Amino acid sequence: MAIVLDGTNGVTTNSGTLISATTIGVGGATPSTSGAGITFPATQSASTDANTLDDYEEGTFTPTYIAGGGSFTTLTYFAQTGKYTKIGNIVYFSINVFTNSVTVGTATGELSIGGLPFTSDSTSQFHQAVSLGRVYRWANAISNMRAYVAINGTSVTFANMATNSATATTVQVSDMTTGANTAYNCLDISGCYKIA
Amino acid sequence: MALIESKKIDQIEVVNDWNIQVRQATIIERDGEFVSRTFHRWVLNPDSDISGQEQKVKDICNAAWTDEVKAAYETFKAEQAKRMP
Repeated sequence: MAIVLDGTNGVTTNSGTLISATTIGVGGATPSTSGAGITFPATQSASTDANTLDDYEEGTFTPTYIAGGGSFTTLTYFAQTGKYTKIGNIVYFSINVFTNSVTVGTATGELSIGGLPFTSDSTSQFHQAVSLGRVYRWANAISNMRAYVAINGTSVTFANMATNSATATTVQVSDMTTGANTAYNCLDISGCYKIA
Repeated sequence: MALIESKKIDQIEVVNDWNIQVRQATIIERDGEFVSRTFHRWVLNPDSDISGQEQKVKDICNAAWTDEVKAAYETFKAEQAKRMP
């Protein structure tokens, strides 16, 4: 039996509860035929109400190393995994990246990780901190870096900022191990960020 | 019993002028009946190489990235390079 909430009549029960043995679709979504839970529309119908959960999505993305300038001649990966779960306006993500071969070419400057699945919040100075896990097999030690999702973008930036200084040390292309080396330049990153 | 996998760009969004958010759905069907759907996402900006994108993605990128938007993006990048105010 299906109960349809059509936005006009609604449903009232004596106990004030609504029970589904399997799945419930909201926003016109067809309830999933597997498991039990709430199915949201494939395309979000955003609510302006601060107390309304209006989206849920799981998926993958492809993280990549990005140079501040120029381009790598060769940049191949041993692992290049990104997974996300979006709940409302927050994206939870995990990244694992290893390189197999790096030829720098004209690549230069600051190194970051691009490819996040959604654009971050654009509020000025609202950089959102994330965590680094394994950091190894780099040419230079970078494990003391902090990481954050930069505003209005899709990249993770690295910096080590002294609290008494306005200058920052950043990860550079020159910190990478170059040449053909299986599973080098490893980074694990996890965190969450508010989207635009 | 035949399992068929199909991929489709099912969502393209322009966010904050220059970010083009793209979602690809991979759909599995068994004998025409829906079995599962997974998503893969990426975001393009005026610095992105869009030569490998589907035509409909290219069309939206080219429509969104006007000279004015590209200039605003370059200004934004220069401001972010300062890192701290």
